[in-house]
Amino acid sequence: MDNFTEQILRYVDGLSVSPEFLEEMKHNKDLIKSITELKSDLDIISNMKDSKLTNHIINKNKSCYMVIKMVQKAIEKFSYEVEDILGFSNVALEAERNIDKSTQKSVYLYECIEVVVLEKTILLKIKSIKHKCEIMHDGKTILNISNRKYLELELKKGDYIITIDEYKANIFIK
Amino acid sequence: MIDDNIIKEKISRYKNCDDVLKEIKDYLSQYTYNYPRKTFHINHDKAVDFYIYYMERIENILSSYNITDVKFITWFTCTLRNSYLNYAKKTTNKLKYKIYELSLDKPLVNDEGLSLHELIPSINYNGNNNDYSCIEKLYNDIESKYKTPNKLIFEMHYLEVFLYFIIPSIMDYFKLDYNQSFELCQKARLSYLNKYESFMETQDKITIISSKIKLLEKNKLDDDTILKLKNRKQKYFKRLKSLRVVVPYNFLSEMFSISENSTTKIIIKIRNYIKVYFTN
Repeated sequence: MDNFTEQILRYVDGLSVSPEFLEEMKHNKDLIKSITELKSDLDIISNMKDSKLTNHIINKNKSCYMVIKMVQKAIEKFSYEVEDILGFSNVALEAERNIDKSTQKSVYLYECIEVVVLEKTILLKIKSIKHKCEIMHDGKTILNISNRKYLELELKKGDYIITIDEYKANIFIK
Repeated sequence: MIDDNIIKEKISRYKNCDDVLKEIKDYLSQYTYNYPRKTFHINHDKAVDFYIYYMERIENILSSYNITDVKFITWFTCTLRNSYLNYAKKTTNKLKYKIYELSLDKPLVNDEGLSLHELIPSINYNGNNNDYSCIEKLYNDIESKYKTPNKLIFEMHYLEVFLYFIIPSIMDYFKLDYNQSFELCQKARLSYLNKYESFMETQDKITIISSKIKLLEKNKLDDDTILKLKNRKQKYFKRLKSLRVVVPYNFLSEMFSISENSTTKIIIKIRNYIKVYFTN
């Protein structure tokens, strides 16, 4: 089937196709199935209206943000909860050897920004910076780096604005 | 919709190392969000999840496109379909050992049972790696049991389920080309396209109401309005379950030139057989 993928695309567009392909079409049922999958999908999309929510969501998605709330437990140990989230995707880590499972809570990803929420601390990891990286904390610039690829920081209370190349992210810690 | 000339210009600029990736993402964002919602009947939340999943990998995918070959949209939907199937496998692997029940007529047998129209979005529901393996079994079972006009009427009635398997048998029965038989299916589909749109609209209403409830619960205000909103949400859920995407009897009776009564009898006969088949 992998030999015919280019031919299928050409057939759906209405371009010229090799005669071997047309002969295969008459008796090969899997080929017919894969053509109808593509054609019917294109049909539905051209005939139906888009949902109205799209603009609202995708515009919000560009300016992604995360709100992390500090919760005081009965034993007076501090722990963090993620209250509100947009744009970041939650990633489940595989078990590592050195780190206990009890201490590791959750990891959030957006493009190359990675936020690790532990029980007592919040870590910010940034991978693969191309040109520049700027981090603002409560209106003041903490970092303004170029010519460096990897970064790690410990986050404290306050409002963070992180800009890397094109991407922007807000993290607010109560 | 995507304009073919605009996107091809942008991709050729992108391959010459300009920084146009953000513009391309913005241009394709509506299509990538709406594709799985329309074709697989997904929720809003899952669609956003898939949107993020796809946008993380878009750089590698775009690099494999040749500008001179074919239209961008057909190539793009092909990649979206493949990557959605991969995404569905990843998310359903957690539910590997849960087995759901099927029911054709009523939307739900138990609380966890799926109707056949909901079966398509939940591929790999049995944990098998082959897509549509369950529907293929059903299709082969019907083919072996019943004669040609009867089984074709039943499969045309539930067209959305059997669409990918039905076309070769239509080509044999009516003696048509592939394109003509696909047009026949397209005409049958147009009869219930309105229901499709109401499906999306009710899903949108549910997400808007749930976001309102979240906002009110944060501020801890207005317990009465929260109750009212929750009642309204349940009404919309009932409306979602009552929608059935099915080709009407009038269309089938005209297509096969049989009276309406006989079509209903045939469909009910085969449906009853399948119910017994799935309960055992």
